[in-house]
Amino acid sequence: MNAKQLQRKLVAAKLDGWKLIIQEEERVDLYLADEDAPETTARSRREQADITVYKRYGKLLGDASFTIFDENEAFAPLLKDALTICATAKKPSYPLPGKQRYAAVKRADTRILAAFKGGAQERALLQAWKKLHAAYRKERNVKLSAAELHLSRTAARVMNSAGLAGKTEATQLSVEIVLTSYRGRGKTRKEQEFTAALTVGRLADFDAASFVSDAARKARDILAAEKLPGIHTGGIVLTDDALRDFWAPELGFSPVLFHGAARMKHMGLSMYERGKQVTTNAGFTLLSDPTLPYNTASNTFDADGSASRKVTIIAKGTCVNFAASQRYGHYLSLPVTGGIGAVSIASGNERASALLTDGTIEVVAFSSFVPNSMSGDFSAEIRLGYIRKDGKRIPVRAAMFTGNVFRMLDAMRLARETMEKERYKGPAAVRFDAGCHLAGF
Amino acid sequence: MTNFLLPKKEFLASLIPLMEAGGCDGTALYVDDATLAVNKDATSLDVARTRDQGVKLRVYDGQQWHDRGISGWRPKELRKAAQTLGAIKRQRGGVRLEEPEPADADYVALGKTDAASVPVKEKLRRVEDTHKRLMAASGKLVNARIYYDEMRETKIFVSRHRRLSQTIGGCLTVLMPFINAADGELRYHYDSVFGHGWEATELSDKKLKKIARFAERIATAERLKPGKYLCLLTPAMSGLLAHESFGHGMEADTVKKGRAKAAEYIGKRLCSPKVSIADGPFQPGRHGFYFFDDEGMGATKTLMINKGIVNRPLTDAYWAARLKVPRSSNGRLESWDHKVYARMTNTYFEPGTSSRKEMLARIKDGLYLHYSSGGMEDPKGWGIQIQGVVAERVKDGKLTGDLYYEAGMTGYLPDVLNNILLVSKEFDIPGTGRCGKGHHDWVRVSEGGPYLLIKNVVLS
Repeated sequence: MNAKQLQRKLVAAKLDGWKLIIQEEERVDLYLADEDAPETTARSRREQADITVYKRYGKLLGDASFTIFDENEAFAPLLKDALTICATAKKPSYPLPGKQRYAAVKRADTRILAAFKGGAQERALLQAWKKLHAAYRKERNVKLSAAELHLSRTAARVMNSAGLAGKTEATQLSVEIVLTSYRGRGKTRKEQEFTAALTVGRLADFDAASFVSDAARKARDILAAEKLPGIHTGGIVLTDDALRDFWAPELGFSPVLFHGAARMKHMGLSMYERGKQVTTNAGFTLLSDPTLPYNTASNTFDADGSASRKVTIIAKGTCVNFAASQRYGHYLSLPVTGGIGAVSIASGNERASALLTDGTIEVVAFSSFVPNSMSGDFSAEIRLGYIRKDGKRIPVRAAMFTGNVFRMLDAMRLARETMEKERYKGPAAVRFDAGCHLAGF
Repeated sequence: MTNFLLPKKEFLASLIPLMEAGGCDGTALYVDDATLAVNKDATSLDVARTRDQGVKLRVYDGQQWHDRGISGWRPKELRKAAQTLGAIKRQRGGVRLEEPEPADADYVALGKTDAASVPVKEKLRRVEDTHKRLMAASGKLVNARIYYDEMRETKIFVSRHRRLSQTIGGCLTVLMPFINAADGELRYHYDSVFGHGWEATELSDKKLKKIARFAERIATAERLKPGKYLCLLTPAMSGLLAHESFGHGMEADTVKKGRAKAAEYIGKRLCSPKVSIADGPFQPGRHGFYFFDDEGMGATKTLMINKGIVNRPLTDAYWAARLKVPRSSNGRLESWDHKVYARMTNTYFEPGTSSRKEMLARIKDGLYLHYSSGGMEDPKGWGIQIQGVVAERVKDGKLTGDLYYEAGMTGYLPDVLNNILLVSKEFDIPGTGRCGKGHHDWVRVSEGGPYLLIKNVVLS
């Protein structure tokens, strides 16, 4: 995509402002039908330009965006339509971000880049699969029911009429496997499955052996798990995937982050006030960190091109800042923080083992965790947990975990040990003794 | 429309012989998905046009698919990719894909008034007016969000024997009033309306008042005491049960890979003969509607449970062949650079013979389940996980007005299906959502059915 040609067209249109983002993505995918037979191998290439135009009307600003896939695509009708939208959908004016100083966020793996450059991306993906398969062959009492692998390289260039110019490049390897554990034969055969997924920014972070052995152990534990009888009254400790999903759900927004967004504040939907307590728990500090190296939630700039910065939203239980884009930062007189990154929680001062006392239930995986972002309410099925009894770790499943994220914060205890898993970085274990409960079904 | 698409159709048809040079089966799919998204709340009006355009070329070598996806419309690159795919040789053995009847057709579903014919100014005015009327319908709302999503999805499918095009319009209005509960907690209500044409955006004052009043009731809703209840499920709730708890487990790849409990029951009785569950994209006006799927298969209806007996899975071409069952029109992809999977479309319980009135009258003490925020599939375990259920107490056959917010529904699917006491003749497919394969590959779907009276529903 010829950026200069597009820029010339935008300058010639005599607008009050414009923004141009050119995105490229190259991807290869491998889908397995059986453990040895691919169902589909795919290669795709995407290139598009997302254009936003701005018109000022006194103290108001109109903006509208459109997408093109070729710099020679008919521009005039799209521009005409965009200007009509500008004239109708006006909002209080704000300045476009100017020249930025971008942090050098490491997001692109040289090995993956080299594979794409040399046309060896399929081979790189196949190698990842072979490692995965070799690790799987060492496991007992599980079968590989499904597998998908994706390798991608993305690049984005952003520029605007205020002199902003930035570019970024990222790579990813995504792996998803479904392992079915089994025991018995014929009519007495029992099966359970566990889905494990991992996305990493570089090949070196993909440890196929531990990924598979961990998933296989969980699949076997689910098969051996007891159903939780009645209502659990002891403490609940979240670890592993469950902890990541609790703070940074894959679907929807984390309630603790939702209320920390300047946009929500502007809409009157945030209950946070700067300087006001969110929780009485002085040990709770929450950040959005888009600068973590090779973290899949990291980013260099947001959709406006504003530089992404680490921002502390809650410090020692008190709201200290909001995550703000250029527009909402200007409206609320807040510093612009750029794109949201990984949810980062400050660690505590207790050992994880001290949180996992006898009688507690450790939850390691939810079937799905989708909280109500606004109220903080949730109900989620436990895919796998462990009850601590007489020093033993007994697997449990089939229980509903319900509660309210905000009501759980006050009595929360954070482990000293830390973990970083995709969009979460923080304590490796968190214990809750109030605001939630676990009930078997 | 046909004239506009014809050159593209002809060009894609010219690629098929190139792609099949190695003896494989080739298909080409052009996707042009344009949307206008308008977000209106008390503080701002935001408008965005998005577009996704590209082509997927595929060859099947007898054992597997080889896909190439290219964004935009780039004839030179497409020709080159077709030639590359043409070098792939057909493999010996493997399974043959079922080829539908030859066809050459162009389809359009744009409603009574094609939204493209309405000036954008008028569209924004209508969204603003809807917002204003919703806010005016209750003095207690903190804010309200109106989300208008206008889609225009154009697809061309070409294979050796089939040349098809379809243009489907969609006007979806989502309404979310926000309100403060007594304890200061912010809550919201959710409603949506979908239709193919602009006429679907006309919302009466009566409808908006009903939505605002419901939000007011949510503000005073309480938490439900966990337990087992006699419940009357609305079409929205019965649809979610059909979709999440059963439908996912009937997607052919899941069945064939041994990932679905349903595989053990095909041809066997699972529940009473009054229960039938179906899927199909064939009903115009439903959110999951289309004329043909992304593999060129014309819209069909699949009875997944036929009078209590587990019947047939939903298939794409590959998994239909692997399972040796007839193809259904469920081969779908999120976009041209995604994989085709067997996916649901409009999923529903078939209607019965009872009336909603008589079902309500049967409840001495129970709950009326209005809707929920969503659910998650568990095809292997048949566990039910439905969250964010909004329920209302029923006493002596009457709705009391006492609401419960954010309940979770759980249970074991065969138990729940076997606990169905009555199925209503009243029927609707109101869903307007999107469904993921796990947490990815989102496609538009709908779900619904009749009212269901079910005993011993576990709610937490």
